[in-house]
Amino acid sequence: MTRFERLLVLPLALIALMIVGVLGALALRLRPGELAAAVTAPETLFALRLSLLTSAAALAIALLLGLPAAYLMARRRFPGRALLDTLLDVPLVMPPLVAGLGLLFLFGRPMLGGPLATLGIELLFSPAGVVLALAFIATTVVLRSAAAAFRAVDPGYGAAARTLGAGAWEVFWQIDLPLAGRGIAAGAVLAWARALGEFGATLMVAGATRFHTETLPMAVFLNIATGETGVAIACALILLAVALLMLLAMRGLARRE
Amino acid sequence: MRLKTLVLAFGLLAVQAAAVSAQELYAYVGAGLRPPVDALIAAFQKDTGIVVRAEYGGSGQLLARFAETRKGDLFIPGTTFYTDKLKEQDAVADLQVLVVHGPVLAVAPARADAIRSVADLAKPGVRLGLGDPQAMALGRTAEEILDKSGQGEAIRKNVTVRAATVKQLALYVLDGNVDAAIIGAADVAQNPGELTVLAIPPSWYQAEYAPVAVLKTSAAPDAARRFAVFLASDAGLAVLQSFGFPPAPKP
Repeated sequence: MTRFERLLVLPLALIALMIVGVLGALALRLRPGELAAAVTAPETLFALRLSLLTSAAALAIALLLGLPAAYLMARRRFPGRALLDTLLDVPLVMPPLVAGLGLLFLFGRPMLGGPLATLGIELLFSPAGVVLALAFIATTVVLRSAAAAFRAVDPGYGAAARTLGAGAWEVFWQIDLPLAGRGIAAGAVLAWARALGEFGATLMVAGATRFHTETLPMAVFLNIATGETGVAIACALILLAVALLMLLAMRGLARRE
Repeated sequence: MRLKTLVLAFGLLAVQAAAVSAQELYAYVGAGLRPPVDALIAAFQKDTGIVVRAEYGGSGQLLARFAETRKGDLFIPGTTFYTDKLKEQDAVADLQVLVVHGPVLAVAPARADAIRSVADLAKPGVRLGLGDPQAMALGRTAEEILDKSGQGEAIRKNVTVRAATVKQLALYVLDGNVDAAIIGAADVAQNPGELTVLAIPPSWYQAEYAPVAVLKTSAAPDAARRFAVFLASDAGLAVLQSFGFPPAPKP
């Protein structure tokens, strides 16, 4: 190890220690018995179930909308494309609370909420509202990573297939999508993780109703407010464990190359 | 010589900075109290030069924050329920009750014809917004009102959403996303003409009083006391009144 490299060890160690410290501080706060009780508390289990279901639904919507949109953005040039590209990045830099406020106004009674209610559709204050908030954020994450993955695929393959008689539909399904698959999968994992940890937008759009719109991050928030630190930490640890599994999955995807 | 002057100048600056930071207070304030407290903080700073930094949030949230940090000079929650908890932790040096934090039933104008009393909240299809009973002061009061109304079960079936702060709840009813909500009289006063207000029988709930507590953790207890006295002064109470918080009856 050169002297220069030894100099680099300190910041690296500091960052790693900080992360270990934060995880350890959370985990050590509870005695094992307390942790077991809090993990199996009905509130924790409800939050885990709702979080998994809503984030999976949001991911499905994100893929359904994000993949075709990303394909078009990657393969086509058109006037205003740069502007649109920037617009599509906005949800990524928007504070979630602001996104939630905007969604609340857009889907509130004075705007879309009124007409939707006459059709019998209630998005606000329901688990569907949680999915709406999560999908809003997850979709742009999928779009961004999928567009990059499609761009990395040489259009020459598609062009060659076209000369051999393949249609545009077949080129997408049999060439571009499989070749971009790994990048898309990594983006999907990232989007899912973002959705799982999302809090601000959910709070505004779905409210903080226990056993109704109580996702894992919402359970952490509500139980801190109540002084039920045990349940709060249990939910936080479950969140972290699931996120860790996702990071490992992402690693696995990257290694399969 | 030049260096010496420079060092001296920096030294002076540091001393001054220390003096300024000694005149800075940290206050935990219930989110519903923000408009008057913002105004009072500005007035206090103008009078005394003392800066009050306020952290606004649901009272329960603030209590948890204080329990964790054990730092800060003042605690101004939406109800004495939270300062009582602080007393149990032996954290209160001084306490003064300031104003009544009274609940009202606020109804979105579009539904004012259908909802004319608390009893109407039990009608099928009504969308009611309430506060989480543990996260915010008026959430607790609302539960009490529902229990006393004799129709608690039916009304609870109509609770569409629970909020973490009274301001979040006010936002929902102002836009008509819920038909009605139990919020503070002050929240209505701060949005004149936008909501229909129905009185709640006073015997249905224990009136909540918003107090100011000087914390034992205060690094500047004298300055903190000065701010508390300022809030409780006639001038301070007049500002609170102008934002819809009537003064608490004198003991």
